[in-house]
Parts: sequence; structure tokens; C-alpha cells
Amino acid sequence: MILLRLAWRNLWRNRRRTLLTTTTMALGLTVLLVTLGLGDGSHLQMINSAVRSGSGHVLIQARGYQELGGVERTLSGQQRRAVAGWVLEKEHSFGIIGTAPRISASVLGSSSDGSVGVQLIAVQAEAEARISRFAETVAEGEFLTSKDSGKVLVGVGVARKLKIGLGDKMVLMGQGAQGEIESIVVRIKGLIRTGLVEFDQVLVLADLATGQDFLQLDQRVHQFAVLLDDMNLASPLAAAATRAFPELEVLDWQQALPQLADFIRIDDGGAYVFHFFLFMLIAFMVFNTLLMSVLERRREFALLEALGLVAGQRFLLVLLEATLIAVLALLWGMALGLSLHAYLAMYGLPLDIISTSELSVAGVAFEPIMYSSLSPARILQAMIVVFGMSLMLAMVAARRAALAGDIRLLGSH
Amino acid sequence: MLFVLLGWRNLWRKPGRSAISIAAIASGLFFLILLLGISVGLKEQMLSNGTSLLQGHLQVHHRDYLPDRGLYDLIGGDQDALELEALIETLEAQPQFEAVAPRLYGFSLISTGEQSAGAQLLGIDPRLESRVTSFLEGMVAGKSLTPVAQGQVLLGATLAKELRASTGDEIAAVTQAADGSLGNELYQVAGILKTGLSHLDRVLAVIHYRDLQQLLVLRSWAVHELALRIERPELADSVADELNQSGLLPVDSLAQGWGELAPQLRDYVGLIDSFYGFLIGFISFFAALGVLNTMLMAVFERTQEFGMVGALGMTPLQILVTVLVETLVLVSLGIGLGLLISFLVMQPLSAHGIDLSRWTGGLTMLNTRIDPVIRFGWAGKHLVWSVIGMVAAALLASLIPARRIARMDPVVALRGVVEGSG
Repeated sequence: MILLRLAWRNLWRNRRRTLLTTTTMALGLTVLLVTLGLGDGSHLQMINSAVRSGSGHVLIQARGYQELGGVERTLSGQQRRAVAGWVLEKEHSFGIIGTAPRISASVLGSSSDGSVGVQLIAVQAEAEARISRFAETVAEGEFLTSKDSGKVLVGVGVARKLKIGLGDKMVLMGQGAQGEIESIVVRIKGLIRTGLVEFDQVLVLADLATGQDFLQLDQRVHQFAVLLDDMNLASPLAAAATRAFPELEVLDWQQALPQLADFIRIDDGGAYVFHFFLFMLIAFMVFNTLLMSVLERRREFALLEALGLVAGQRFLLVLLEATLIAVLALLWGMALGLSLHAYLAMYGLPLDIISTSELSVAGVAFEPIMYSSLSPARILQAMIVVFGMSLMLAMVAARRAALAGDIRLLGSH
Repeated sequence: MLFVLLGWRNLWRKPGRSAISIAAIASGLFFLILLLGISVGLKEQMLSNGTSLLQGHLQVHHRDYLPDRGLYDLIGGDQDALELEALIETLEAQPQFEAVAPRLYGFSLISTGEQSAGAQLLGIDPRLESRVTSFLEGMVAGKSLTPVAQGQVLLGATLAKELRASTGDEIAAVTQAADGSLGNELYQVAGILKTGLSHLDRVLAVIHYRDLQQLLVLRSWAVHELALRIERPELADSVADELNQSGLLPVDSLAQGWGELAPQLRDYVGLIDSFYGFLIGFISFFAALGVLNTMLMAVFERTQEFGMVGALGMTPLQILVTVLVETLVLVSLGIGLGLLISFLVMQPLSAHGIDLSRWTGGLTMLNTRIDPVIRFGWAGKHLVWSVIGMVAAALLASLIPARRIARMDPVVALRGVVEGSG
């Protein structure tokens, strides 16, 4: 107990040294928090952007649809009602924001100026607006409503290739569910710019009923997309859906967007190496500071030995001091790091000074502002890492201090 | 001169203290170089993943070909002639170009008899193509020395599934030829491609460019595109400018770098750059502060010593000169040591890189054709700023407190009480 009091007094006896040591540790924690926050935040942003620009967190569809596609691979009316009812049931327990039925098909789009292959996506307009970004990406005209039978929105690239604009007509032609070639004349209600150039060159968006009518699907749909509040619940929900509907295909976003999942793993790997070296840098800086402060006190330790403190007690004393310093540094570092994180989470780090065009990574539109994001587990991780490291390094320094007690040093400067 | 000697001697009087200061600078610099090295490596990896799959670093087209990719906008089409082989040879003879590959594009309906689908035909010279891009490595079925001979076709994986076609099957391609006639031809499926880009796998059909010329009823010099690989991809835009002014290309053609061809990639690379720029700046600041703190401690520790030499008659200026000499020696040794270790460690890291799949797990990496190896690179400009930051921090940490102590009454300093210092 007396050692603890002695340690506490020692801290304030040399305020400058305490301040310098805690500053180094606290700033180390701050750097770690900000770097982790921005790294995690950019991933989260990419995933959010991806699930919002089409896939959703969980997809429920007919078996084989992901790999093979095909107009005839649908959910029957009965399956569709069963899935919709099941999703409604799970709404609260999984934090489901919305769910939307969709049809999609590769068809030929033509105007008097030519034809291009397009990707027709037919959606329930009101449900879709809740779960995806399509409604926000309308560049010209307006988004669909469920009364818009026979009207479509087209990607800006499609409009340019076919030389069509608002109010113009185009013809869609493709294989229907019965195997016959079907066609329909539609009118352009708006233009869409998703930010993905390749996607904008093929996208045609129609109301669900229009698509079902065109492709002879009656009440059938190809897939259900589910959007969640917390993406970490995507895999559990997908697992639950697989159990409930073993005859269907259920994908979480990693399975639906394998390229993005790979990209994120690669990026994670890079971040892992980056953080490893950052951590080493912080460790060395803290260690240097601690060593310097112990070295400076050799005379003091010699005095303590003369006063009767044995090596173990001196070791304990330095360790106690280090613990107190680490606690102070932790408090300070958390305050500084978390306020910087809060600022970056709210206002973000603008990186768009150089950007001129729309951005996409691995097929996902990307915002040029990076927002910080830290889970409680990450914060705890950073705290434990810095605290544990400081104590461990202090132990090495303390050992030196304990052995340094040489009475002869009392006379030296 | 005496004070320079004094400064030098002081350094070795307390070797432990000097060693810690040197270690602080050296380790700070070393880890900054490694962190910068990763960020350069990640950027280069991004760039090479973005350009080496299909695009190439540089492309040459007829100036009207992009963005609509019209069938008639051929390179040299305005004169109705092109010495294709001679042009490729001339370009390959230039030191800045490593490889050149000609390409021809077309749309067609592909049919197996029961199933049919629309496809983008890409006509290539298989021998030249594999030296510029890597998409031919994504072959999941079918193996031969030449990936696609004349009379053969490679299908994108999704397209092949839609057509229910497999290796050895025969498919028919039907298209509108350049002269307005209906061109059609049979090809044998020689392989299935998984490029890793889903939109490509859905539409891509690769044949020999000579076959495509015949199918489209075009002459034997007709190509839409030359894709080039250059030695330093980051200079693509200026290399393209030089090529445009060199007179080597037909007058109606235009060379463009990857940045112009894929502004998104350029922006993303820029984004990664400024993201890491911010992080590194932040971390450099921390490293400089770490050095500052260590050296501040070392200087304040010497309050009594400065009081002593002051009492012996050294002026504050003379004390400052000795401290300056000490600091400069420490800084030079620290930076020298840091650079030396960095060179030794960076050597294998930049040559072989770190294989990220060790941390990221198995992955479908081969299918997506993303290279999981980061090769560390030297970041010249950032590195200079980090060194300057270190030097400034060290000088600041020594000289300012030293000046304050030197100006103190030697008697007070001798007691060693500068603001609660023990």
C-alpha cells in the first residue's frame, strides 16, 4: 500500500516526465483509434453502398438462380407469399428495414436508332424506394410508382446508345417464361445515373406488374431482397431462411457479391499489415520514452536501495507507476481519440479534392468522403492493446530499474 | 571548435541516453518507411489489378471510336489502309513499350442449336494478348498451348452456362457484317473463361482476330484497338501524349493512358493516395512527437549539468552550440541507422512482397484475378517530409529547452529544479 502511495507521489513529483510519457501513450491510442475507425468506416461504406445499389443484405431466390439465371427460375405465387409472411415475422428480431420482390432478365432494347442488350429489373416501386438507392439516382424525370404500367427508367448509358430521352418509346424483346419470344413497347419516364458506368449502360427499370406482364410470369418473381439495419445480422438471417425454406436459394451479401467480399478481404489484409507496423511504431515510441525516464532515475533508485527497498520492491514500484501512467494515458487517449472519431463519424474526411468522375470499386459506387466507424469491440481491442503493451514494456524497463540500484551511483550525476 | 569537441564527448559520456535518442529516431523513421511502403504497394496493386486484366496501360483507337465503339471506326480507316504488322513491330521496338496487342470487337448472337444468347465478340492475337493482359489466365476448362486458335472460341463462364455449352461443343455466331450482309460461322469451344468480372463473364466470347475479320467481312489490317503494356504505368498519360506527337501512329488515331480510359480507376487510386496520405501525415506527427518527448526528457535530465558548465563560465550561446552539435550527431546517426535498416528490410519486401492470402484465408482469389501480394514501394516525396519532420522535432526538443536552461541562473540550475524536475 505504501508502495502505491509512493508511486502516486512519484508521478506528481516529476510532472513533466509523467506528462511526456502519458502524451506518447495517449497519442498512440488516438492514432490507433482514428486509423482503425477510418479503415472500418470505409469498408462499411462500401458494403452499404453495394447492398443499397441492388443486392440487399440477404437474397431469397429459386435454387440455381445465382449461377445460372434464367427467366423460368422463379418463386411460385405460393412460395412468394410464404417468404413474404416469414420475413414479416422476423422483422423485429432481425431489424429488417424493408423487403422487395424483383424480376430481372437480359433482354434486347431497341429504338429507331439501334438496339442494345439490356438488363431489365422490374420492382415494386414503393417497396424498392425503401431498400435501394434507385429512387435517389434518378438524374432526369421521376421515379416509378405502382401505377406506372408500361413506363420505364433507363440508365444514362442506355439512353445515349439508343439516342432516346424522356417521353420517347423503346421496344423490349426477350424470352418469356413459356419459352416464346415476347415484346413490349414502353415509354421512358426517367433517366438513372447509379454512378457505375457499366451498370448505367445496361439498366432498364420497370414496375413489377409491367415486367410480369412482358415476360408472362403472372404473379411469380425471381427474388426477394431484404435490407437490414445491422449488416452483421445478414448471415444469421440467411441461415434462418435456409432452414425455413430448404428448397430455395438464400444468399447473404458476401455470397451475392463475391467480388466485393474478396476486395474487402484483400483490403483487410493490407490494413492488417498496416496496423501491425503502426502498432510496432507506437510500441517503440512508448518503449523509448519509458526507458529514457527509467534511465534518468538511476540515482533515485540507488537512493531507494540505500533506504532499504529490495529489488522486488523497486520493480513493483516502477510497475505501479507504469500502471498509473497507463491508466492516465488510457483516459486521455480515449477522450482525444473518441472525440476525433466522433468528428470523423459525423462530418467525415473529405477526399474528393481530386475526383472528377463517379467512383466505383469492385463494381460498387463509392463516396469520396470517408466516415469513421468503430464498434465497441474495436475500441476495447485498441484499449487492451495499448494498455497491455505499455505494461509489458514497462515491465522490461522496470527490470532494468530494479537492477540499477548501485549505491555508487548515488555520488554520480 | 572546443564546444564541438565538448558536444561530441558529451554524447559518449552517457551512451545509454544517446542510444535511446538514436533508437527513437531510427525506429520512428523505419516504421514510417514501412507504412509508406505498404501504402505505395497497395496503390500499385490496385492499379495493376485495374489495368492488367483486360484494359492494358495504354490504348490506341481511331479518334471517333470511343465512347460508342462503332464498327467502322478502324485504326487507319481514314486512309483505308494500315500496315498492322509493321506498326506493331515499330511500337514494340520503342523502349517504353513492353508489349502491343491488336483487338477487334463485334456483337453477335451465339447459338448452340437449342440455346442462344447475345455476346460481345473480342478478336485477339492470342500470342500477343497474353503479354499485355491476364484475362486469358482465367481459363477454368480447356487447356492448350495457344489459348485460342483459328476456328476456336473461348466463352465467358456465365455465357457458357446460359448456352449449356462445354469444351469441344460447336457453336454458331451470327452477326451483321460490315458490308451489310449476314455473317455466320461455326466455332469450336476451346475453353471457358472466368475473368472475375461478372458482366464480362456474361457476355464475352473470344476468338482469333483473323476469324473475326472474316466474320465481319473486314480486310486483314482491320483492328479497333491496340492495347499496350508500358514499363511505368504511372506515367501512362504522358507516354500517350508523346506517342500521339511522335508520328508513329496513323493520323486519324489517338493514344490514351489508363487514367483517361478509366477515370474511375484514376480517381480511386487518387482517393487511396489521399486516404493514406492523411493517415501517414497523422502517424508522422505522432512519430515526431515521440522523438520530441524522448529528447525533451533527455535535455531536462541535464539541468544540473548545464548549471555546472554555466558556473564554470560557459555562456548560454556556447551551451547551445554544444547541444546543437550533440543533436545533429544524434539525428544523423538516427536517420542513417533508420535508413540502413529500412533498406535491408525493404529489399525482400519490395522484391517478393507480402502474400496477404496468409491472413485473408483461402479465398476465390484465383477466380477473381486479384493479386493478393503487396509489394512494398519507396515513397520519395512523403519520405523526405517524414525525415524533415523528425529532424525538426529533434532540434525543437533539444534547442528550446536547452536555451531556457542555459539562460537560468547557474546556481538555480545546479539545484536542478526546473518546474518540479527532481
